[in-house]
Amino acid sequence: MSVQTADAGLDSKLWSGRRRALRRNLTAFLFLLPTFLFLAIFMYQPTVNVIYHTLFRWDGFTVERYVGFKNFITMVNDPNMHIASRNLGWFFLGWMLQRISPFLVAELVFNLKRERSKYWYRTLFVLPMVVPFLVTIMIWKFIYNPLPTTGVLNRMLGSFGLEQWQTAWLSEPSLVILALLFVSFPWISGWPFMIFYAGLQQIPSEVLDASVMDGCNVWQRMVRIDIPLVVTSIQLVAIQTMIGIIQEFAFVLIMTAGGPAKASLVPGLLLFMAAFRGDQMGYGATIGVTMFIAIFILTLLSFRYTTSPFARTRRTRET
Amino acid sequence: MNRALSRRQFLIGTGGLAAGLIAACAMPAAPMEDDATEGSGMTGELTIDMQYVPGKVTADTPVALHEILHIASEYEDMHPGVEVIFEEPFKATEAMTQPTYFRAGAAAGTLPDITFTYGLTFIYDKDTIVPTTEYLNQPNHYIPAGQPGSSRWLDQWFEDVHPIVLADGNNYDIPVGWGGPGLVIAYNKEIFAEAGLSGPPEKTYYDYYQACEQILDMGTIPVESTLLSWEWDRMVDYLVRAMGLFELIDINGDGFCDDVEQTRAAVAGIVRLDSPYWVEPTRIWKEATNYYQPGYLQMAQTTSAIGYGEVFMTEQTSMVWNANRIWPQLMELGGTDKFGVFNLPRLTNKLTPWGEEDPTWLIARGTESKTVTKTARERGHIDLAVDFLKFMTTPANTARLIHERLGTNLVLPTIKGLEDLEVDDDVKGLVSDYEADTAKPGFSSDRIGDWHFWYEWFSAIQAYFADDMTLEEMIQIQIDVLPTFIENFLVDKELHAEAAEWEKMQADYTPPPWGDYTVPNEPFVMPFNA
Amino acid sequence: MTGQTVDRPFTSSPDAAPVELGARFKSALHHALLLFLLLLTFFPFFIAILTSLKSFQQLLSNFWLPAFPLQLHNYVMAWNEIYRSIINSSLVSLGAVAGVLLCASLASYAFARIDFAWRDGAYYLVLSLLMIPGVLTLIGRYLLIVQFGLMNSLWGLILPYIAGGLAFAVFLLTGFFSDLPEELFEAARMDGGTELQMYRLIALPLSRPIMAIVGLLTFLSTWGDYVWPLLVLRSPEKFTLMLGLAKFTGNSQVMFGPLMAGYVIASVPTAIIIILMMRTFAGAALVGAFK
Repeated sequence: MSVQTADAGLDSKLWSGRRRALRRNLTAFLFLLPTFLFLAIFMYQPTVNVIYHTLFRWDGFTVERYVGFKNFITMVNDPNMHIASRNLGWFFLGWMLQRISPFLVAELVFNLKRERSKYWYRTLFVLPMVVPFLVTIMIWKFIYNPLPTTGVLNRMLGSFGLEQWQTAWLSEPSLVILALLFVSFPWISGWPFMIFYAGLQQIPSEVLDASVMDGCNVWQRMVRIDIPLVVTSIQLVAIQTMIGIIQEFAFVLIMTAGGPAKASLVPGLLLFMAAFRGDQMGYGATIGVTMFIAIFILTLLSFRYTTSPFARTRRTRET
Repeated sequence: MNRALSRRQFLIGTGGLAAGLIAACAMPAAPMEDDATEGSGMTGELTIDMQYVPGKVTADTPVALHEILHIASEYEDMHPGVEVIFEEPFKATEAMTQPTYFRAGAAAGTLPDITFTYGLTFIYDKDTIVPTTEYLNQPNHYIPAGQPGSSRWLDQWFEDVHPIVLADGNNYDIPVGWGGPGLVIAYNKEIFAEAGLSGPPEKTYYDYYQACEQILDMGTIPVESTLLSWEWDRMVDYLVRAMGLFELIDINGDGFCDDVEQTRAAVAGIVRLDSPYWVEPTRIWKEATNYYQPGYLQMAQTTSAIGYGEVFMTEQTSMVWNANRIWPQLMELGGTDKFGVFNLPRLTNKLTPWGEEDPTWLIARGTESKTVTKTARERGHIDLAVDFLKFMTTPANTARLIHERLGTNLVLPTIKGLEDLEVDDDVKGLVSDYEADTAKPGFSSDRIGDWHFWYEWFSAIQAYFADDMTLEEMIQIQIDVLPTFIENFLVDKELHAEAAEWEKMQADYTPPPWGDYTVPNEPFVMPFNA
Repeated sequence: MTGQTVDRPFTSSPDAAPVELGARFKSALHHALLLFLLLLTFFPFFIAILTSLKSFQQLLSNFWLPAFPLQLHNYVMAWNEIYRSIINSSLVSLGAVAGVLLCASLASYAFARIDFAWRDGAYYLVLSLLMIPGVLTLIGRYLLIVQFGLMNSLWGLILPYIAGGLAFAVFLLTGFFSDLPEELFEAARMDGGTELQMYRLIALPLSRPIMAIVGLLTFLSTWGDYVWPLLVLRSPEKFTLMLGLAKFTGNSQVMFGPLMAGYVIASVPTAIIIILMMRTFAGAALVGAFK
């Protein structure tokens, strides 16, 4: 207590530094507390719980018996899973096409000469986004209504004299996926269009002018200049679509509930049915975890072989 | 008296959100539970869920039900200190099966004292429901002396709709309503007249299909229906009865086949999916869908873009199944002058060689039973719950409940002493079926395997109906998946030891009289087309 | 890609008359194609609005064109059927938006502007949730809601929605907060401002556009959700709009007219919000947020 001279000053400085760090940590902790409280309760706990219970025959409440990897084996051998995966493949192709095709329309609008027409087309094309997705779905259900009198599509065919083409669009196993894919045709209105258009807008005008000087035609310019320059937008859309598709089932649930005859069954719907209608939470969890793994691997792969769209997000914001 | 639906709940993690939202979103404050002061038996808050929330319009009760509220009110007047509170039923969204809600409620501790069940066709975990056998043997003191039930509560019920005894020998349910052929079919009198039909088809399927044929000849679509298995279910019931299998399945002899009994029957080979009682109805049904509106394969009642009954109401079909759902609209659109109703027909041997020449007996099943739950045990409410049920099931009160539902959802009276009921002749006829002992409880074929099995079965039906699959392939799919679901059931209920015994029974058991029946792949031919 | 030229107005050559004619033709074709696509895009909505104004008899006799008199009472019927669920949906969505904005902005401020131990680790812990598909947690969340006794309660929607929206919100807001100039905070720190004051007085006011975007995204995703309310809610008076619509659709008491009127009404709230956002500062930034 007697020889504290210069050392004491250093010590207190250290102490105050540490205290400040402690205070900072405490402040940060308090700032983070509500978020982590929510995440711990509603995100981390359910995730861990579900992953853990893939090893159980489990109805969520009373029945909980350890069965090892039986659920995974059942899933691999489950004919439903095979059908659902095959259907998912078709949906995957179709929806990918749907989400990427607005790029062509974005090009069409972008290449208009007058800013005013560009503005109007752009606005009009995104306008239907104000309609909730479920409403769009239900309107399409009305379009596919099987009766020749009140079904929009059937009535249209009837007025063109094509009665023999009238059919119950959503109850033909061979047609149902096609019918589902055609929902919201021509698929323009949506965030992919916005992203593509924004991407095109960010192409420096010098590049475009230079391409004109070089005598590029439209097609050449699109392939050689636009696509390489907006490739991150396309990747972003593709990855988001991929993640979305793998877990999508509300759409199918509302339209067909997977029918007829499982012709539109998808893994997400199988999960939903097993867990919430069949009381097989353990099996549902197994499907969920498998979907998670699939999404994880696909996302990693796409990050590995493409530019990370997230990295780009940060970069663009900096500029 | 607070009739509002109160739910015990606790709100967690609500800090930090806007106070206005808290006020707006929070439900009526949860009642403080003073359980400690209750338990003396005949006072306290008695919570009940009905199948249909009283006073509310649902798809199945387009006219809201109120009688139960009056009955509860009268009970409260007789028993000061008792408050009867109606809670939401556990099954109110389509996403959940009733047992799931029941189990969710049991896990969360939110079960009411009395819950409804479908006549206990599902096995609940034993500690969540309270056996009522001893109470059923007590007198019902709400019944005047000398009438059935006054010395023993159980005597109130018709023999064949006795409360169901589960495989453990105990009784857990108090049947309130039983669905007979409760799915009413409505028909358009004008279209029928045009087709030369003077009235509804007689009592058999044969007549019903013949009427369909006549209407189809005229160029009108005969029936609006969805691909729900009502027709099929009833036919399976009939055939199981007709082949004498029912008694083999029903080991405890209570006239009902619960989950354990049916699983046992499947293990022992009594329930066979390649047998005629399972296959023939499917064949008949496929041909019957020729009379359905286009797109019936896609139609689900809750999520279609056309409301159920619309095809019928816009006169595009001549009949509609489950017409109770659209009863009020039919009354608005022309009432009984324009629309008539009849009940689901019965089987005769004109359709299968296993039916009887005359229309067979009436098949009925539990639609609404009451079960006392562990909540009542925990809160000391068992006596109170039983007493209320006794009051509710007196003939006078049951008559009120039944009468109220006639216009909306036909429910058969299950107890005696309702002769004075002012009902139409059809219903009187059904009641007399009980008295003449020509009504039988159903076999409940939809309890074989779990829901998952049913999904398989249903999807296969769709494929078969869409001509994507032969009948043989369809049946094979069901046969293939059945063991998995039997196994799941055994695991859930820890019944492996019993199952080993059941398997041994296969040796002792003589196959029922269907001879060398094989699954036919050619379409069923309606008798009038043969 | 029919035949538009890449000529921008300032590069086209005014002296080439034949080219001009061809360009005009190409331009007409260009517009025709776009107009056709617009027509296809709007066709279902056009039919829905048309049908919403007809009685069933009018629909049968005159399917494609407007029929008079207009059946405005269809809208009254639809409104009576779904106004309750619109209120519920608004409560749920606004509650979720409030919760997400409050929690996420606090957390993001800490991530972006406070240098604390394990900051990166904590940040990646949050971001990792972007990889967790919603269906994976569906079962677990459902069981939680059951155990908490939040079944059939709007809180059973709001609380998981807040949790579900946080990860993406933190991701967006942290990026934004890190880009704010450090000088602002330096000056405040000199004056002895606490972190809470800096958050409240500097970060929040500057982040209004990005907050609006986060709020909008949360609002739209919760407003349009169908599966979760289907699992949680039981009684019709608590139904959110999407459930209410599904019930309305399945309910046999409706005909096409009122049904379509219901769809139109259901689109109005989101339309108002999106159009308001488009008109304000956030509109431009909205596109950026997706980028």
